[in-house]
Amino acid sequence: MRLIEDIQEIKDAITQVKELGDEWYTNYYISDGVAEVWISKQQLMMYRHKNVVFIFRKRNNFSLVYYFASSFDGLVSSIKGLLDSTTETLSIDVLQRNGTECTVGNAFLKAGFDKRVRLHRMKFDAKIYESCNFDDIYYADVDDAESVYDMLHSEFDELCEQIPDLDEIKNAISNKEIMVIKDNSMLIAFLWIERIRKIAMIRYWLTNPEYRSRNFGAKLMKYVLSANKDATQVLVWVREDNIRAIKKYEKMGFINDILVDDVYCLVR
Amino acid sequence: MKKIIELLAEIRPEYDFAGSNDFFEDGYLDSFDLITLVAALDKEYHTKIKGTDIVPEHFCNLEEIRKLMKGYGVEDDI
Repeated sequence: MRLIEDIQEIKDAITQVKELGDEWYTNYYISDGVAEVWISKQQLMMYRHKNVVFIFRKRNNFSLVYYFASSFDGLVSSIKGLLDSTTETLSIDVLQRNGTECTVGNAFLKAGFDKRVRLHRMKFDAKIYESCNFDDIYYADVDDAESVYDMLHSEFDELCEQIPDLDEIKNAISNKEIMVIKDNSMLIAFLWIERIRKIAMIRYWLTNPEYRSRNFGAKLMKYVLSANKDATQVLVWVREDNIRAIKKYEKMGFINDILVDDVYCLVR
Repeated sequence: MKKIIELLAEIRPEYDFAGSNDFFEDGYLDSFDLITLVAALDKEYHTKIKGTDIVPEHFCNLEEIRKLMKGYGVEDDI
């Protein structure tokens, strides 16, 4: 396993693996910009086993794993090599269209991984945006970063929901991606929305448990949806088992999109 | 361009790709769709699009896709 120092190494690996077969199996949907940030933080490692390349993104005490393979049998036979290459906990996302059989996922299950969660992508489908003029909604400032971080870690599963670190949160705050409602300095609710051209991706929408059922979250969502009415798509990933969140999104006008993300983990 | 439009419509049937000059700028395709499109083009034309070519700029509109595929020896009226 070696540290990736340049994005060209990933591109070359993709080319080399594709030359070895006629099929293509990958869960690497990372934009160059994002990958370059991870590389600059020395978070990415590459491991090659036979004709399959695995990329590890190092997190606190586990790694997210991405793969490139040009045959299904090659991928399956390399999973053991993957497991032998490291002793740490691993988490693998497998994206697919809803309704298709997850053969890759089954291969990870056979190798000892557990299916930790399924996430559904939802998209905003309402045609009418409520106009909003709430004067208690603000952009987060850097002093809110730790509160956002604490709330995320108390509510989300680090292994399968890719919780950002403090630097990423501060970066999002400086990019004006996080809107907040506060009571003096207490963070009541926040909504993190990332714009990638005309696609608006809701990263997180969260209300402090002490302030739930008082409409703060709905106010934030209506405001953000109204502010992003020029987006072609407004998307969010939601855990299949988070019925409360799914109902909230549906109430706001979201419906299921075509993609699901099955997260497989091997906890060590 | 008819075949490319067909492949795009299989990925995202809800959008009018023929009317767009930049599929990513217009929010029609995201990073998952890009990889799906590359796989579909490789399968259709028996190519192996290189990693260095898998960037939004090469797939942002019909003309750019046509130019890219021509570089891989695809001369048909695609």
